[in-house]
Amino acid sequence: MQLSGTYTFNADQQTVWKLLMDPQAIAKALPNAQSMTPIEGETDAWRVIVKLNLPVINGAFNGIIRMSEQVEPDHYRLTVSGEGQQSVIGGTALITLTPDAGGAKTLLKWVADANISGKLAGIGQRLAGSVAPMMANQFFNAMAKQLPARP
Amino acid sequence: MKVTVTVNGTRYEREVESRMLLVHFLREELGLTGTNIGCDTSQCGACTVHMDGKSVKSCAVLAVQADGREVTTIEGLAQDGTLHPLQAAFWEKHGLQCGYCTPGMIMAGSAFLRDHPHPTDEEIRHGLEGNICRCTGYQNIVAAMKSAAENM
Amino acid sequence: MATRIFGSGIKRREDPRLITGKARYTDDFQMAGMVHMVVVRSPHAHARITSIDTSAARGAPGVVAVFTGHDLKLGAIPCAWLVPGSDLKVPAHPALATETVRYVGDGVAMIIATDRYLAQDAADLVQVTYEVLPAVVNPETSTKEGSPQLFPEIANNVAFHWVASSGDDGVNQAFAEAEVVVKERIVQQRLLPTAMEPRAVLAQWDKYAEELTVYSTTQNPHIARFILSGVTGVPEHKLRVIAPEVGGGFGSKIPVYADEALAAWASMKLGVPVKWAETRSENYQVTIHGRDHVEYVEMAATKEGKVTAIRGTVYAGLGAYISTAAPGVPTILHGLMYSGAYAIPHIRAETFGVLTNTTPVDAYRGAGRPEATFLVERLMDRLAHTLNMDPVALRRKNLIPPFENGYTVAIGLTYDSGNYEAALAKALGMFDYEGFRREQAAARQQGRYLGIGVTTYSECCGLGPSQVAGAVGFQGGLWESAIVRFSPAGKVQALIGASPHGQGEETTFAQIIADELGVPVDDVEIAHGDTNRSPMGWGSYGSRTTPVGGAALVTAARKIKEKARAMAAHLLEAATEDIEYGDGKFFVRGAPDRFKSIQEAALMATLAWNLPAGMEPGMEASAFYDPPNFVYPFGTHIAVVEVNPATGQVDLQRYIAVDDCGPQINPMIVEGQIHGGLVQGIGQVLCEGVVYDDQGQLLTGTMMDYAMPRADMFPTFEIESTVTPSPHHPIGVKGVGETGAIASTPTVYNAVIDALQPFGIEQMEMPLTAPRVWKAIQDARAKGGQ
Repeated sequence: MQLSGTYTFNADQQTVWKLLMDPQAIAKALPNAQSMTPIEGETDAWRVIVKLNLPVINGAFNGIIRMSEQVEPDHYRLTVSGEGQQSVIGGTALITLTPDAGGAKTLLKWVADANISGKLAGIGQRLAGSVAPMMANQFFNAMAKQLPARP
Repeated sequence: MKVTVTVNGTRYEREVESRMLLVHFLREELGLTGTNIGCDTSQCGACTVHMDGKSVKSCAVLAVQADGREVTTIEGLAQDGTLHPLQAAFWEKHGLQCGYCTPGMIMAGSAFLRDHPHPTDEEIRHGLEGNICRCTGYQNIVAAMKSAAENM
Repeated sequence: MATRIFGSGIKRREDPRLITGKARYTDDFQMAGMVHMVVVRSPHAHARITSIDTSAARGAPGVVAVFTGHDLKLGAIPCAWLVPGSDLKVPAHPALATETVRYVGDGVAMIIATDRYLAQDAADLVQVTYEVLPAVVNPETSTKEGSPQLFPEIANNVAFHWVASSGDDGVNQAFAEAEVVVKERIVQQRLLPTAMEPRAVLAQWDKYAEELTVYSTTQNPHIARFILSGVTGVPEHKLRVIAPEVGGGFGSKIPVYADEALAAWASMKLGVPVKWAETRSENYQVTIHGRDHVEYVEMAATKEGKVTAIRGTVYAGLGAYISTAAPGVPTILHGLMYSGAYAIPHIRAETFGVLTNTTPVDAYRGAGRPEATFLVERLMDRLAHTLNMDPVALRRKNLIPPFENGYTVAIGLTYDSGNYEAALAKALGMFDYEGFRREQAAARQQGRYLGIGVTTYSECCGLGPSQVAGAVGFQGGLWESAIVRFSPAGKVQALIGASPHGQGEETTFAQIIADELGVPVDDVEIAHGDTNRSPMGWGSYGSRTTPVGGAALVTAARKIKEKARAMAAHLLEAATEDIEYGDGKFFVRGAPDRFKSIQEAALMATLAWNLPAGMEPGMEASAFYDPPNFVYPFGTHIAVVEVNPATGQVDLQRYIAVDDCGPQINPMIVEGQIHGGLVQGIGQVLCEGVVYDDQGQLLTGTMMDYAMPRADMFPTFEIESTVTPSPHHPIGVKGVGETGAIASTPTVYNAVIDALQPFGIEQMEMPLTAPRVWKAIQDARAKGGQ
């Protein structure tokens, strides 16, 4: 399943990049995240526990988040895998940043390929097209709140 | 967590897990198995009960949310051994076959009739949208609702 | 004689417990020490299991035990309909998969815990690693070279290939010489039976008596006992299956599933009662689905509209394993019904039974006959359109003329009785057909699209003669039995082998007994659903409970009556042949004041103080009834729809059903059966349909995603009947449980297509949802339609 979306940050590209690479900021912004801990022996990889509260699926998901292919400050890849509640989720997203004309704002584009299996597919697949962009927006909004105050 | 719920006129105090659904509380803690479970997405309405006089799907309510409230289930609908007019009408008009959706249908229907004492067929059909029956094709449920409305 | 209670729409005696919440369904039972079972299921449609780690789950709170397929000592889940002559291969279906999972929902482990919430929590701690394999979901695609293979021993996923023919040469010649041939590719989409009560089981092993008791949501407790005995190794006389209140079945509670066997095994292993109750989303994943055909069908005819031949090739999806009755549904119950209500000289039906990475498919209300009726009726309308003939006139031209005692169709079945023209005439008498056609033409001028569908059908039910069951590979008999007994005080208890679950036979069967024995209906009790109490029976499905079980009951009652007559004669000191019977009394011919009531006769036979020579004490009789033939209900259905071209919304405006199921024991209950069937059949046309993605993920996995018919989709159905008794049945009755579901799908479908004629739309895949219809209209307009 192909999904995509955009988000505009009120900050310059370098600041946004720094924010996106900050695991603590990510942990705070992840919707319904209960924990996010680095995986030993790997860089840019974390174990996360996310609590989902949907009809039928009501409980914890164990997942792994990885960042790779970082080309500062332009693009990177985010890979997510998770399982729980008799379901499996897998997805990879390419995230690119471009500054606007003045450089004060940064446009983020994401293009993702996601697979959902099991119980969650029975309800999630149909909703994913609308829920995933909403959750992404929620996430980026929460990230944006953590941007350093403008001078 | 501790909850105190009045069900069919009797006050119950129980210690429950915070995630326990009201329907499981009724069925498993209180043994009131007349309320049935037909789905897990609050679509089918089989588990409909009255809470403080309003119809609710008891699979969409946590037991702790019923704390301090009054709940009526299908077991408490007949008064002093006399069937509620809608129960009697379901019997008279053959508004049920396997009976599994029936308690929820009657609880939803009786609340609907209280708010709409003289409904048309169309209003009844619309009013029962939240309750699914696989046996009757709804026609005799509509007939039962109309007949009960006349007798209430 | 008093008014007969047969034929009277008395209120159901089942209802008081059901409307007050006192009825007890399987999940309502609690037992001391009871534990809960949850099955860990595959999230993948096709994968190799590389490892299963249950250690975390074992340590979770409340967990009593965790088992995988390696721990089980259980036989494979069998298939019970081995259709002969089809090279059927039944792959092993283990209760829990150990090596390969083949559909989303395939069980891989089971958790036993003290509480169902804790069992569910622990299920998430079972770590299964899978090597995901490619999957296939479409039955036609599945047979093609290069498709993923489910079982190495089954080439191209074709589990069987079955052909029935009136003679291939004749069929081929009829098509070669035909003046007109119409063809269609029909997709019978998958449906979810959705009995409102999901399946459940409560198994209790008594280790002292070594007896297993299984409460089960089954339509056929004796078949369940038969199969569970084989799977668990518990001998049948030590195995008791109880079907308590069962909340609908529609075929989905015929099969014996892995879950029942697992709960039974776990109870034996652990020595405590084990309960399993599926959630609705689990029900959608693992309880059988219905239909799933891809069909290529064609009809040959003369220019005058005389149908000369019909043939079809069907790819019937079986799902990932072959369920209990699955092979019989798209073959015996489908292919043999291609003639419908028509005299068609040449017929050929060919079916490929195909495995796919999906939930198993089995009998769902109508089981094969709705699909057959659909294809015949669809081709009829297509032919009428091609010939520019009125579809009703075309049907009239081809209907089998009235017959009272047997008509053999070209493919070999002998219909029992029929008067199709009479049912059609009655339906048309309720509806101004010519007037409607004028209104339709006028409406089209105003941009409104009305359509009509008329179906004249005959179906085959009341399964069936056991000899035929054997000949077609059904691994059981199809007779029914009944025991009728008087208690000393004159009450009647009847025990039946069939197992009603919503159809109301506790009432209708009491009406039969009351009528046969002349006793008050309230003095009759009908008991069923417990293998330790009910005599042997093969269950309630295929509209057979009344045609077969009812006949067994009548036969037993008549035996009682003859014994009572002999007893009365003895008491009245008269010859048995001089005793007349009326209204529950036996009296001496010519002396109506000299009589004994049937209750007196029963009491004296029970006391046995003074029996005629050679008579055994007691007033009890049992009967085994094996029907000499199936029964063939029939009728005419008419649907009127309006399609909104701006939205694609289909509005069902009128629905008329005239059905003939012979004499009606309780017309109120007959109508209820028809109403329910109609909504299920129309649901297939307008809203229902299972969706899998091409990885085999079930996308319609909850009631939020699978569109169930709701009250506001339907007008008030107009129901009438004609009465043509079955010649071979002791009281002439035919089955009526499935007619609504069989006839309504083509009726409403054809009405929609009729409405869309101005756009040149000949065909759409069901369900005909608003977006789909809207898109078809847009596409047609783009191509130059109206």
